[in-house]
Formats: sequence, C-alpha cells, structure tokens
Amino acid sequence: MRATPLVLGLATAAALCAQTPPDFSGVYYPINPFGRFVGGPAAGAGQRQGPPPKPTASAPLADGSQGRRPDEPSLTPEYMAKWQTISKTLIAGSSQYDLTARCLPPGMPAMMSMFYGMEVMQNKDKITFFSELNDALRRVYLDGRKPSQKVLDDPTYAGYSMGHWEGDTLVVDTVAVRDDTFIEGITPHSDQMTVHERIRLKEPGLLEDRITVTDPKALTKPWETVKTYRKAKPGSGTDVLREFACPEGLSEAK
Amino acid sequence: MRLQNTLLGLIAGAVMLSAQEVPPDFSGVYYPINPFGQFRGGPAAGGPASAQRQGPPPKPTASAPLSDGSRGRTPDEPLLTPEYMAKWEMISKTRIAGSSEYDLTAKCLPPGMPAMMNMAYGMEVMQNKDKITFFSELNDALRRVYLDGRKPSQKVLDDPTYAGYSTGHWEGDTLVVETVALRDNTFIEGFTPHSDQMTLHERIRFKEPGLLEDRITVTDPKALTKPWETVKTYRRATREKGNDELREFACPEGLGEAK
Repeated sequence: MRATPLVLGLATAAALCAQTPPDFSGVYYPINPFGRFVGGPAAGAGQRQGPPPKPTASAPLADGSQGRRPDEPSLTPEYMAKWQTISKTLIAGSSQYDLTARCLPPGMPAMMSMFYGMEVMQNKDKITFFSELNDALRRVYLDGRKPSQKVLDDPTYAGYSMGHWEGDTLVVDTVAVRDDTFIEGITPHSDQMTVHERIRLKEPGLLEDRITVTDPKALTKPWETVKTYRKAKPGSGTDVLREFACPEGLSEAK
Repeated sequence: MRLQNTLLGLIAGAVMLSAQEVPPDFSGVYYPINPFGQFRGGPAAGGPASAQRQGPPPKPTASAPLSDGSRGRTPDEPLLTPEYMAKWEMISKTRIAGSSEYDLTAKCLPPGMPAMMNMAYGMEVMQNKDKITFFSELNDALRRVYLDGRKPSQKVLDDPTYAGYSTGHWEGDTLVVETVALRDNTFIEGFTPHSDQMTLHERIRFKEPGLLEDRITVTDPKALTKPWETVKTYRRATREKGNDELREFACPEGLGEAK
C-alpha cells in the first residue's frame, strides 16, 4: 500500500524522461546540399529514382527567367539587380562577393548546405552546428536568452540563433545576420532577413532542416527549402571531420 | 513491503551510480587567467585572481636577456636542442624583420596545439560522454577530444593537423588527454618550435567550481632536451555576468583579398 506513491513517483519520472528532447549530436553529411523546394519530391531515397529532370533551364535567358530557376528565392527588383552584379563578377573571375573563396564563414542560411560535413554538439542549453567547410561554427541558444542590443548592432555570418523544442522538433529563429552572406548559391539578402527553421530526426539517423527565409526588402515572398543530412555511423571511419584551415590556400598575409 | 525494499534499493543504487561515475561537466565559456601559462615551479597556478596581482612586479632580470647568457629565452621556456634553438633564432629574426612567414595566427590559421590552449580571447567547451570539444574564439579554431576509446587511424597519423588528434579518458574528476598527429609548424608557446615527434599529455580538472585547470606536458625527443610542463587556468563565464557568448572571429576579414 505504501509502495503505491513510489510506483507513482517512478511513473512520473518515466513520463519526464519521455519528454527529453532527441539528441542530434554527431557527424552528418548532406543528402541534398543545395536544398530542395518544399513543393518537390520527398527527401531521401526517392532522389535517385526516375529519369533526370528535363533540361528546360539550360537556356534560362530565353525563357524569361533572367537566369534564375523557378525554385530559387524570388527577388525584388533591387536585389535582382544586385544578384546580376554578383553573377557578373563571378563570371569575370572575381571573388569579391565569394565569401568561401576568401575563407570567410559561408554564413546563414547558405552554411546549412554543409557540403563537406556537419558536426552537431548539443546539451540542454545550446546546440552547436559546425561546418567542415571553412571551420564555421553556429550556436543555437536553448536557454531562453535573447540577443542583446550589442549583438543586434553587430551582425555576424552565422547570426544569432534562439531555439526551443516543440516535441521532437527543434524550432530555431535567427537574426543579426550580416547582409553580405547568401541565402543559397549567390542569392543576396538584406539586413532585414530572418531565418526560421524546424529541425528534426525524420527517421533515425536522418536529420531534416526545414528552412524559411523571410526578407521584406529582398524577397517578394518568404522562401522555403529543406535540407537533409545522414548521420555518420560511429566506427565507420566517416564520423571524424577534418580541420579545414582554409587560409592555407590563400596567398601569404601581407 | 518486499516491493518497497526492492524499489528503495533500486533508487539508492541508481543515485550512487550517478554520484560516482558521472564525470564533471566542463561545458561552458571560459576566459584564461594566465594565457601565457605558468611554470610548475612557480607560485600556485590559478589561485584567486587577486593573489596574482599582489606584491611588487617581478625583477627585470630578463630585460637584458642577451647579456645574461639566456640567448633571449626566459628560464621557464621549453629547453631546446641545438637544432631547434637554431630554428627558434631564425624564426625570431624573421619576426623582428616584420615577416609573418612563421606566424600562423597572423595568417588566420589555427594557433595549433598546445599554443591554442592559451585561448587568449576566450574558449568554449562542448561535452558529451563520447567527445569533448574545445573552441577558441581566436581564429575560430576547434579541437576535439574523443572519449569513446577510439584510436587514430593510420590515415590520421599520416595527415597531421594544427589541433592534432586527441583521445581522452576520465580518472575520477580529471580528464586525461593524449594528443598526437600534430603539424610540425605549430608552436609550443610563443614561437618555440617543435618537431613532428611532439606528443602532449594533459590533465584537465576543476580546481574549484568554475575554475578549470589544464596541466600540460609537452614531450619531444627531437626538439626538447626534457619534457616541458605548463599550467593554464580558465575562469568560467556566467550568464549573469553577460560574458558567456563568444563572437565569431572571421579572421580572414582582415586579410588582403584572395587573388
């Protein structure tokens, strides 16, 4: 009879344990580093099925697209002009706008492409995403903190991210991103960009990041993309990222 | 009654297990108290910060280093073999001449082990049961210590890095770390060079709550006449103080544009 409270106590403890958020810690590789339009096919195994897409975009200037695919962010005229400038400098061989060529952090949200692999470190107060490409680090604070005015006035490549758990999904909002990073590829954005993410294990070992980019100045409407990463298996030899040390490849510092 | 005893036994057992076997959690942001380390023979490392600033400043005997036979090196610096003493003198001359040829951090490269443990601009530690990661705000340098018993593969040993390859285990409340596979162009401290045979041994623990101590022993049969020891101490930042967020360093901002 007196044992009942103890049993109830254990049941409560078990219920609390059930609410422990999932652990994303580990090394991951992207399945679709360039993301995917939300309207596209389901992420995962379906990707390699069927014939390749029809080459309708191979003559982009003749189809009125101005060189941008329909699933790329829809830019306002001001930022379309900016994109065209950047595009021309790249074609001309300049790395003026190419952050990664200059060994700078790829910046949010483009950094979530994680071409060369991603390492996730997590505890109850913070989750950290590390990109092997250019050794870029991104922190998501989970302890309820908000950015200080100093942080808001001092934007960074990774921005300032705050997250919380909704069941098994990590919901992240990012602000204070520098306006010289890219949304994806070389698509520019303004200093008003904010990024909203819903990150979850779609299935064991398969992490999904549904990203919504909002920018009232640069985008005609919010843009959505989904990135999926497969977790490296411990002991497989792939669960170790290597130091990138990008500036090795730069000419010597003056 | 028997059920109750069994349950009590289970709970007590679980509490004892967690009290005895869970290692301390080093996670957090830290700032160095003594970024340039401290010789073990010196005053106790990492005492209260106020103790460090007590008393008169040290006597300026090292201010004329070349006339005291030290050849420009303080007595608590690593003792170099003639080959590496010559290398140090050469590096020293290039730096006096204004070259950054040997200056990794000026070139935005990772400071490299063990010099990176100075953590001059702050350090962030991320820990779980399989791995502990040390991140340096200076040059955004990351260092992983694997705790899951793995050993470096031949591929890793053949491909040295600035941070090297570190494996660790817990001895009570102390994290014991061994590091191998280090590039031979990093520095032990300052710009003291080492060979490709350098290995590191560290004992990291909370000296007191919020005060992390790293006792580092550097062994290098080719470059050092004897192992060199240093102690670094870091104070944990707190959310209340508002200093527990490191900033992105993005060093290459300051480099000339890539060609």
